[in-house]
Amino acid sequence: MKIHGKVAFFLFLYVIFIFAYQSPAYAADVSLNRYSLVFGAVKNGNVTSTYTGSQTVTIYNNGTESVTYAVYNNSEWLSTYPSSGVILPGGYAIITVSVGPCGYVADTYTGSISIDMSSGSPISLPVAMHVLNPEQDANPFGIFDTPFSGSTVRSSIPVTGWALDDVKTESVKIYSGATYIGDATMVEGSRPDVEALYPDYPVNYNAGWGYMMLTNFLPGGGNGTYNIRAVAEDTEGNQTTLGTKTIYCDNANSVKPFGAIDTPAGETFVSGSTSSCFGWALTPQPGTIPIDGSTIDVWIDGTNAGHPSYNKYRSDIAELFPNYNNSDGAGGIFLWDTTAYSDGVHCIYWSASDTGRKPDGIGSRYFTVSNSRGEGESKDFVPAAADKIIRGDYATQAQYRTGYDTTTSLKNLNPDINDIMHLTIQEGGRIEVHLNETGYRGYHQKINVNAGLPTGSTLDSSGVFS
Amino acid sequence: MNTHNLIFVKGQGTSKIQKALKVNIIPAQTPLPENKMYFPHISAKNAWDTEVCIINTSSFQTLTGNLLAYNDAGVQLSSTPISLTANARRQFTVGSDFTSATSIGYMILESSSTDVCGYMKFYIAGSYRGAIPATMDVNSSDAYIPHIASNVTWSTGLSLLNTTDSDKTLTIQFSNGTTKTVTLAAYQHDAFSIKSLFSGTSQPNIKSGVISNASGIVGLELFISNSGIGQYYLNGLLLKDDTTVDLYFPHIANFNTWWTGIVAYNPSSSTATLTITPYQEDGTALTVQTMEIQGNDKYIGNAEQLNCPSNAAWFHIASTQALSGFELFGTNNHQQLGGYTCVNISVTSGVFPKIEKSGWTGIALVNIQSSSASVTLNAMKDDGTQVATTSLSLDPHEKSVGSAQELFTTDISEATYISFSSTNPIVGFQLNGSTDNMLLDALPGM
Repeated sequence: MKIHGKVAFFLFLYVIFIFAYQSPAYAADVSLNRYSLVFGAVKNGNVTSTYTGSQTVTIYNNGTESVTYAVYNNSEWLSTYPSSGVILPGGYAIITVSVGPCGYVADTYTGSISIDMSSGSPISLPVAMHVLNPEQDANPFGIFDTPFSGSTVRSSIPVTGWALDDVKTESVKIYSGATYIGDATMVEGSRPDVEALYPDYPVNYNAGWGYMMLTNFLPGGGNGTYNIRAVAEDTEGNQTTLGTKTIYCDNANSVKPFGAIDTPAGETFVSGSTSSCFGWALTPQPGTIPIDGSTIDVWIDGTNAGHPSYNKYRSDIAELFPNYNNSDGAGGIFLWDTTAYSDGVHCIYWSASDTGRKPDGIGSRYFTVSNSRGEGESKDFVPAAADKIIRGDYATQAQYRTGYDTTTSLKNLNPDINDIMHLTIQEGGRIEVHLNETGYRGYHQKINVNAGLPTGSTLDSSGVFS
Repeated sequence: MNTHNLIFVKGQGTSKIQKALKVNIIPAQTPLPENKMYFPHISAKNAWDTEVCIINTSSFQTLTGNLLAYNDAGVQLSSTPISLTANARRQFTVGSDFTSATSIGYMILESSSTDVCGYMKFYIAGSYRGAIPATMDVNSSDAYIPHIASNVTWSTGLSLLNTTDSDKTLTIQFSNGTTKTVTLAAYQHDAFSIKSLFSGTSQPNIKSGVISNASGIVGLELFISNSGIGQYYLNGLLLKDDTTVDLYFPHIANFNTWWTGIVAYNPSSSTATLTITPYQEDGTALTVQTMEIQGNDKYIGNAEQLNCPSNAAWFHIASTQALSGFELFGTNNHQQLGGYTCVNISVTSGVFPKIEKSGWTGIALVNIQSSSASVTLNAMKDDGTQVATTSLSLDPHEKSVGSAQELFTTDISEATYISFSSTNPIVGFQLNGSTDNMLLDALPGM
């Protein structure tokens, strides 16, 4: 059984795709999504066999004037592309940074990238390259966080953790016993805690991994005890078992709808005015999902995008799950316009309910919109300058709700004495914060950086963050 | 915990403003901290301090959450992570364990569990002490003030917390027919004396009250001896909308040293006929009496005035109308006072939440049913481990009373509280007194 092809990828809803911002030392109207880069390499005799691949830095023009930039670096082992360009107001440019460690002895090398701007101060970005001898090469390491061992689970569950390596973690594979389930997705910015804890590891901003496992697909229909194992593999082929979780699956007593999103597949690029999102949904007996799809919602970046066309026959689902009221029409398709979204990583997920029940999430996918607008195109947001004193203002009452039922009452959200509002949600949960004011821009605060809001989230023009 | 700090920024330059949002992501298998237990009054200023205690009453699950402290305006002052393994207990002294202690007006424990209980103890060292259970129940209708003493010797204070996100205007209808309104903004807490509602004039004619529009309100009342009269009584009750037709008064104190105060309040408009059945300690029923309480009136007196026989150990009141009520124990030397509500206090399991380390702890258990009850008592440490266990067999209507240590056959000096379970519903309470016999508080088994 090809399980991995059936299961929707899942990552934290609150992962970060960095639309970054600079430390106060940077130019006032230009920002970066990273403040340093680290690369690793492992020698093989006189040649270097493996090393961290290219990484990117995004420059944002936050101002109202076009900016011309030029990129320089001060080390022979360091290369950047492109060397110069123009960024329109509100636009961005992506700089690709790579290293050439061949011929370098084992040591740590430091350099920097300088980005000169047509206005403002140059931005300097430190870069480190750790060249290792083979005996210094270490296995990947990390943590398998959830689900908890001993927990009883049903339907789709997030399988999550983090992994780092001295060169790069290439994959995290999920197994049930000896059966391969699928590859987790590494999601940039999903673990700021790990990033802060291990600042000297390559691509530490990409340590978090996640996989949405539909337990109904496990052997025995997802009823019984299963040992779920996560194995990380690095660029050199070293493997580490990050952990094993023994869970009890009880889908026989599940009352929630379940299903998956099949496309876009993981890390897919989508473009154009009509893109298709295929998925399927079922609900345990005696429930029925209305065949008009009215109780299935599609969410893109946390915002409700509409209902799919439902009640499509799927032979694979009908054969696997023959005894449900919607077995002969479990499939659905949702068509959407990718040009309404900025280039970059986004998240799509479905929620479903049957008659009389609260909706629940059934699957999610991360994908990349690429409409070739590219460099110089204006984005739909403008990062804020952080070099000014900002005061908390809560004169207008903020409110929130959680979950997929947007008819539930909003609750007030108040700041603490430090002018911070607090919310707690579960992995895979959804929040909707109503600032009840317009004109706000949203950022994710990290060390020295105000990044863009997490991938899969939206702050709309009416001041609703979801 | 995976935490993401988000900011929402508006404006430019020096006119820039922001709202900050901290989102905590917890594992999907961890329940959300959606359950709230209220400590609706905290005082840690002007010589007062407050002891706050939380007990995880689950024998299986860890309790996780945050103890949130708020000022009177409802602004959160601090958040203290709480993690209690099964049966674990944690106690705080607000004045020393919290920053901004003097500004704290109330606290809320937000946790993943409903298997939790706690209490507040208000005290001035060496003179006053009173204990009140924390509560997870927010009033959904009118709340009753079953007793008000506002005269030359007593003051009664009210402490009200608006748990809702909108302003609340409360109308307090007093037993003498007067009404006063109190407005509380969203999440606001206010504490005031009855006489402060009447320009500082005591109101000896007011005996009780009803707070209308009290949905979303949590509150308590405190009775305290007026200063300067040489008396040091303090006790309090939660203000609840609960009433019952069965009130249990599980203890009648020794008449020589103590007085036992009885209050039964009839908030309905109809006359209530009460059947009062006293019992000896061994469960033998004594002479039954009847009495009536007019609508919106109450009985207040002591056990002697109820003509309880001298060998009566406890009594039950059955009423034709739902009542509110409580009992008080006070020393005749005016130094100590303790009491608790008598409404809905029968349980089959619970805890006596504190074994006094600087004084004594008395425990009483009453089998309120006509069949024998088997009660298991466990002496527990703060970390949730068991120090000792014992079993009691209570005949129908029998009462067992003694010090905490006397209930066990082995040393329980390491224990900090007692948990119990019973085959029948029982009523129990604990009294904690100080070594110098100046401080006393009482709590029902919770």
